[in-house]
Amino acid sequence: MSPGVLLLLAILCLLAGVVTGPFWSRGWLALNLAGTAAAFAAALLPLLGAPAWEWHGSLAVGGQLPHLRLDAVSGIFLCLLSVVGAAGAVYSREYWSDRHYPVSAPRGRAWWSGLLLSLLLVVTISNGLHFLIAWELFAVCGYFLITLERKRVAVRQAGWLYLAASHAGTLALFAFFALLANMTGSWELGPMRDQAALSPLIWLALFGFGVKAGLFPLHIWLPSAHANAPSHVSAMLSGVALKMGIYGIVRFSGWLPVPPAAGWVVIGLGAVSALLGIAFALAQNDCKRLLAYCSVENIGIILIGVGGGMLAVTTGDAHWGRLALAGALLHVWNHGAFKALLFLGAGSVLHATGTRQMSRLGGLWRTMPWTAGLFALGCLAVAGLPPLNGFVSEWLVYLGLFEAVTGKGREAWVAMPAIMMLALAGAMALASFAKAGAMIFLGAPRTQAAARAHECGPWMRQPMLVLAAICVLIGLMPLLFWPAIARAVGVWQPGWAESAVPASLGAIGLANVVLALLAVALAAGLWRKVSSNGVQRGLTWDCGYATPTARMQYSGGSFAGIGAGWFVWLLQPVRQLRRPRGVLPGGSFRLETMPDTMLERVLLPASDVILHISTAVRRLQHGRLQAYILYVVAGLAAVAGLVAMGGLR
Amino acid sequence: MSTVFDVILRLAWWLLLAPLLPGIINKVKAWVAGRRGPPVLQLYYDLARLWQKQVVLSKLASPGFIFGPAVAWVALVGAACLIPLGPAGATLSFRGDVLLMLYLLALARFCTAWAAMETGSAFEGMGAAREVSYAVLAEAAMIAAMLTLCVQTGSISLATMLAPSAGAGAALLAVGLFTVLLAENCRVPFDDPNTHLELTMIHEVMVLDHSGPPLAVILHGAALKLLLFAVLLTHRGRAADGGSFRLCRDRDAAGRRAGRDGRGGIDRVAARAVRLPARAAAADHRGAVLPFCPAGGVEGRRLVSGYLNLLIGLAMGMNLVALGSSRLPSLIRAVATQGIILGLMPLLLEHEPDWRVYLVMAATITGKGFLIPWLLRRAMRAAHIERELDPLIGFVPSLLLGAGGTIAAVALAHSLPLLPEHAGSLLVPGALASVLTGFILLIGRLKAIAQVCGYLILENGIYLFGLLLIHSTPLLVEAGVLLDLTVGVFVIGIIVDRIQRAFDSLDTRKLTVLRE
Repeated sequence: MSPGVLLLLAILCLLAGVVTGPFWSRGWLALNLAGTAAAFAAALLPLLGAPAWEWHGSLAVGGQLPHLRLDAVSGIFLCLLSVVGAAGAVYSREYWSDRHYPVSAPRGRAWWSGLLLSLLLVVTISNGLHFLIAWELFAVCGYFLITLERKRVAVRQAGWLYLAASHAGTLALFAFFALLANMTGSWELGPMRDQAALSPLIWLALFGFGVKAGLFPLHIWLPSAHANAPSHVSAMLSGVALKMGIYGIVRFSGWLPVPPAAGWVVIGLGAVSALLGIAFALAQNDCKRLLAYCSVENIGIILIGVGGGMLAVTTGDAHWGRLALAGALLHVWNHGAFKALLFLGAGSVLHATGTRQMSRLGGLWRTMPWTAGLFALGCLAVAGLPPLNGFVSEWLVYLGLFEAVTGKGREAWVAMPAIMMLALAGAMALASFAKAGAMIFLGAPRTQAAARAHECGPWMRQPMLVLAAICVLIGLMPLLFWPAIARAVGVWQPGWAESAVPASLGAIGLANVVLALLAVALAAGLWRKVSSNGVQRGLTWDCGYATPTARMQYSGGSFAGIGAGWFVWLLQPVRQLRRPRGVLPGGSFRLETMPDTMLERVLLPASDVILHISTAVRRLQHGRLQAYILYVVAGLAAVAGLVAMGGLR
Repeated sequence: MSTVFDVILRLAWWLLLAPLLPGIINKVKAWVAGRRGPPVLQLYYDLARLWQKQVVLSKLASPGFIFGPAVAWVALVGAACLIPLGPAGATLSFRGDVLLMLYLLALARFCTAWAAMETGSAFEGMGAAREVSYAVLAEAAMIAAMLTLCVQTGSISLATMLAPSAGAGAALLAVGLFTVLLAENCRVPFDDPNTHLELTMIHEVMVLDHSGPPLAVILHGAALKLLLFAVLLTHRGRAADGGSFRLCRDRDAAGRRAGRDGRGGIDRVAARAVRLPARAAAADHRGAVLPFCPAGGVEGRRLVSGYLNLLIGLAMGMNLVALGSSRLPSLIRAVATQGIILGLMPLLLEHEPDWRVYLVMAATITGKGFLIPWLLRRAMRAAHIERELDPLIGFVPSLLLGAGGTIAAVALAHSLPLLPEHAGSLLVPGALASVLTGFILLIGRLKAIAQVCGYLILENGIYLFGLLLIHSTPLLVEAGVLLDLTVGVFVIGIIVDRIQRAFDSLDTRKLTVLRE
């Protein structure tokens, strides 16, 4: 079947999903799965080597003829979108069921299909005006999904912040597409690298798409939206919606001419996002906020790769840029898979215990073994550890940067600090996820709620299993996925099309397979040996103390204390402390909350100043007619005065 | 077939030899302490016994408690297989394998920390938190070392990166790697594998609850990691020795390359650094003859230069120790050690040392290493003061400043028009870095004793500069400076005593009161 037919099928199924969602959940699920399967098949075609598909409509919409295009770059994102979209739909059947949420569940189903549909359009539309329409549709669907639980204040605030930030970005995009249409004389999009005058537009695109992607200083909406949305929505937001920002940056850095400075700036922004994002993640106590900040880090890693590609284009060196860009594109998939897995895992925990605070969890492996195992796998993947997928893509980005360093050109000066920041971020990601996994699942339950947890059902487990399988598969067989990525790189920069497989990628795959096999074998062997030697269960050794309690465990705040201490200038935690005093001390506590510094210490004060000025100006408008007439007279007098002085001649 | 044989042989080398290293270390430690110590093969016996033992498991532990050590061990073995074994090369070598090695070490760390958290013990949580946090610093140091190697050799595969190459940075790199070895393998001063005081440990505390076969796997893994770092360091150590000889050749080649196409920035810096030798070479036979390594004595000189760089690297390390220590005794110790290190240097610089060199050496070591520190310690005791409490520049910022200054000093020295025979050594960067460290201490510390230490380090920097002129200027100048300083220390010692009596504090801010 041609991509057109498949896409049409997908669009029809999703449209039907929007209509049937509110009242027919079984049919909605089937339609959604059919739609995402069709979209997946359509996305595979260009990735497997079919030529780019284009379609020009003949019926004008908003004065413009529709133009759809599906090439390998769109294919990468469409693929991710359909996989996570399907997984989230299945997951929501149990997680956000009609029984528990009679009002919001039907609504949520309709918006879910709407979101998938608008995202599908975003990645395929090739007309500026229509792109903006689809982009807005996507933002609005996202808003209604985030605020499904709108009775809670925090949810409404998060949704509002998301909408405001999203529109700030869209404003830049309006300017971007309007200027582009003005300069080229048409809203049609496509490769236009030869028109050098267009190159400054990339900065507008970088801002507009950067807000959506959650680049470091623009990430303000991201933590609260991800934390307060239902978990399958968080998975979609983090796994796919952020990637739409990346899609925009990749798409337009491929189509427009790139100014020489852009590569440097994007790498710099990426490196800063990676390091500071993970610093925030390390300090969080709310597990979903931790995951959200970690998304900022991963977006940073992706941008380092994309920036590497842009820099290599401007310096004319394909060799390392190809590797860096391929790593970035592969990381788009990888992050989509493992972050969705982790959010779904966090959702199961939330479902079972009712809390996102890691300091109230613990010991869940006993009641939720499946979730614990899958979450642990996600932790390994997100920390970029072999043999899983996170390692493969980070390794490709690293390899590109190292090649840039050995080239000893000018770009080595940016590659070296980027490598250092990436390494620091990697080590801190390890600390963050050692903390998250351990605090939630290991040790003893810290509260009654945690002790009474229950395992999630099959509808929630199976999507997680599928995502985990993807993580393992990309890690063990990177060569299987290389051709698809290489084709996308070829579309991005046609000169780089005929790229051979980097020889060492095969070696990495082989090493990962050997490592995985040996690890499984040895773990099983040690387990057998331990069982045959005999096991005696006892108390945890607490240096002779005979009655340890759950509250004596190391807490998440202490675990992250050393690392977070290095970033205290940035994190600015709010601390409340009551020390034990006197001979028989009463209650004492230490409470530490981590506000988002950019939002609360930079943006809100700045907007307070604006609000202050506006309030002052507003005093002019008070409803007293006499004063209004005075304004009119004063205005007239001023104009008359100007004319009399000869100012308006 | 031969590959399989090769892999088995290598694995056997790594796995069987690993437990020997801690045994040797313990034996040497015992010998130094005047004890007989455990047998060299003690760890083998321990492992064999643990393997047979029953396991006591915490009630809270999940299967991950057993799987963690197993996966960590596999990761460490994998990392070891990537390290080339001298001429035999590595089991598997490809572009970018260095990153695989670093990430395998990270995997081992994750699994160990995970297993430690299984038990819900506060102590093990503490150990795991320390392990993953300090690893951030160690990882940065490791990747910086690897980047240096990568720039030096132009390769990103361990087999070629570790081939003995050279450069003035090699000694520094060896020192850095050694520090990482100490930190990663929990050796003194970062951790002491022999203490069993839970609060003070990192690695040992994480394995408190392990017993039987899992503990055996962990112990073997730790030994393997130690061996791995030792092998890595040995590669670098050889490179540091091989220093200046190859340096001449490399620079020469680099100079010619830079002359041909000086396009990139790094090349330009390299070209600037090699300007002089390259010019000398051009005057010679188009670079065929090594410009500053006369045919005779090349062997001896390159060794000497390697050791000299190593010593200067150590002295620069002492700078950082001085900047980072809050306790005055350790500050004084750092200054004293630096003095002793500096005292050894004339011996290496002089080709035929006569009695005067020995005299100067003895005087320097006695003065800088023992006399002045002793005076300072006395003043410290008299004043009952142990710590610098609230410095003007905090310890971490001053460390960062010092580290940045050291890097800047190395970079600056490259761009200075030095004599060719000094271009390859760390003398100038070392001197600049020490002077800078002295200034940071002087600016940032309030206690008079710390101030004196700042002066001493400043003076050490001047001494290093003086070594450049060892052939042209008699050591008289240096002796004069040292004398001044000794007198200065006396005077300050007296003042310290007086301030202490007058104000009951050693804070130099209080001196402003004396205006009136």
